[in-house]
Amino acid sequence: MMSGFETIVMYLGMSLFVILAMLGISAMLGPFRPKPRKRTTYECGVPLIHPGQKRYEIKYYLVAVLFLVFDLETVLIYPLAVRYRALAHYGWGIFFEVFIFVAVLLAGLIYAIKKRAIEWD
Amino acid sequence: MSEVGFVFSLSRLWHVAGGQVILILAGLALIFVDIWLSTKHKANEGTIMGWLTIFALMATLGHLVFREWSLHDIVFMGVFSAEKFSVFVSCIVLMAGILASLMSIGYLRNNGLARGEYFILLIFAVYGTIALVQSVDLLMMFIALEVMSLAIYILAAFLKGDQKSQEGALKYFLLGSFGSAFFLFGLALLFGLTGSVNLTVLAKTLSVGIFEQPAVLVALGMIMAGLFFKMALVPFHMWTPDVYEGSPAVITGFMATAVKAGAFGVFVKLLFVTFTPILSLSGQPEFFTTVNLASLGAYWKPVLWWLALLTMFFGNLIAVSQENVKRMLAYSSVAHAGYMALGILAANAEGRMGVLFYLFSYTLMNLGAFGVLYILDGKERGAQTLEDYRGLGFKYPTLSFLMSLFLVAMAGLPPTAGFIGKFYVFSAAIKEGYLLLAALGVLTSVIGAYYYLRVIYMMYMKDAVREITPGPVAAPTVIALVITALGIIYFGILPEGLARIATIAQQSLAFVF
Repeated sequence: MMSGFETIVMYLGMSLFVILAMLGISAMLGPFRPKPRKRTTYECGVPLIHPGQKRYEIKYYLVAVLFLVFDLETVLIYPLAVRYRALAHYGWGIFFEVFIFVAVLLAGLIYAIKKRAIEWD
Repeated sequence: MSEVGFVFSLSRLWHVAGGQVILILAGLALIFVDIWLSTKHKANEGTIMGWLTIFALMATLGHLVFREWSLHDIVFMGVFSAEKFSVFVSCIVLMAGILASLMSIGYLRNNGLARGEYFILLIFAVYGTIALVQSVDLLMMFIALEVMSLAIYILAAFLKGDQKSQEGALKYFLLGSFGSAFFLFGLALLFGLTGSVNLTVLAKTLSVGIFEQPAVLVALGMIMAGLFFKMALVPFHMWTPDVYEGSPAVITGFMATAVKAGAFGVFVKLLFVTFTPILSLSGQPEFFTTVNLASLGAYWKPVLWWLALLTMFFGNLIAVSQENVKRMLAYSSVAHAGYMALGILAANAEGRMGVLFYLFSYTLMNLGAFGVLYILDGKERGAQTLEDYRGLGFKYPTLSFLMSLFLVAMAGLPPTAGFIGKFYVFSAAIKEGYLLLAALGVLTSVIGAYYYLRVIYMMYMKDAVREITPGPVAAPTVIALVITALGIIYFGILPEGLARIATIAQQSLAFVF
């Protein structure tokens, strides 16, 4: 009937219990007297000049997305290189598969360059 | 099939997944064509890209029909299979892709959106859907699901600056990720239990007798929930109306047909390959004693029973109160998903055949309706309310006639393919003894007839209150509308050919091994 998942269920149950207990006990025992001043970001500091959430330029997102492409490339190629011997029985297919993967990413990179995604202005 | 027994072979790849290879190469090539076009031929960019896309999709369709339909190597490295069922569903997806591309040329021109990325994303969406249907590996299935979804998320947001489009796309993204997470978690549980993500290996491992574990049922439930999000069955349908209303009209048509076909296809494949194998039903215990396995049906059937009922009722009832025609069509697509779920629930040959037939005919009528809708609209959101449809019947007789035809087909009246599809699905359900559900289904389709016919009533029997300006009708859209209209009537009068092909297609699920 059981299959090793019971420990996971127990773990999930325990963590849920701990979270609820911590939040519940502190809510029950702690005093709750809100004041507007208490709700500011720095209760005893200087007043804030502008809100904490600022809008960034869209270019940063673009760079982040392009970075993600290369990041994924590393993440996927590295384990393959490590485990290459174990996969050798697949033949040359597995070897060329990596290059197909890189070629597809390269197409994306050329597209990004041509669309001037990495020019700053 | 042992995990190490897979051998890479290029010819086998071409046999089994050649259609996918064509699509990927075409998509990558079109990226560069688009860069070139956007500097040299900016004015005709949309049209040229559209036709190139159509050719790529046609080439894929040709490969699927003439090559993959009749071949013996059906599994490639335990990842993709090309049995007739997947090929049939892939053909539906490609048909939806071709029709959507034909309409998109005119749509993009009317809305001043002619950009090449649109068609590249459409190709990748079609690719993802085909890969989803062809995969026999849960992990590949998940990747394909994400490829499809990511392309569709961007396409849904393609009306830049339109608040509803952005809102719909964000909702779709968030809820879609949620659904995918369910799928992934179910997959992980199954992998933890059996040590494999291959559908056939899973089927054999589960048959040994660990299927009664609660963990297996939790995994099945989670995978089903993930797919129900894409299929838009009722407790999981919340995103549908907003996304369908917000997205570009042609993309809405594509989402309601191709994505749904993909999700239903893979759901049927998953159920009848792994969780309730056809072999277990047909009494050919070639691989395992299947008495045990089939009993998983006892777990998913009640769930699907209730979901089908809820979907049919809620989809149709909420559609009645809609004032916006596009939003009404969104709820109607939810209702249609309910009818198709009924066919899966029947779990017999007729039911699966009915689902395939229904998907095929639904693709034709739904894309047709969205094609007329975008023309009448002029610019997106120009004229979508029922009030705007008043008195159109005599001012624009051809468009109104086509719209009426598509709506009649959706309502399921003879002599259209919509009637035949409903007939197959309901008769399959009755044959399996789901008499009450079938009766309720017919009842809800009567409710459905009310809101479909109301649009026709508005067009022909009311006087116009407001002048609307339909956009120009592009030639490719005419081709698409002619294909859809003739298809609906042809398969409504002579359904036997398609039904026979669908019957052969659904049988092939028994031979995925």
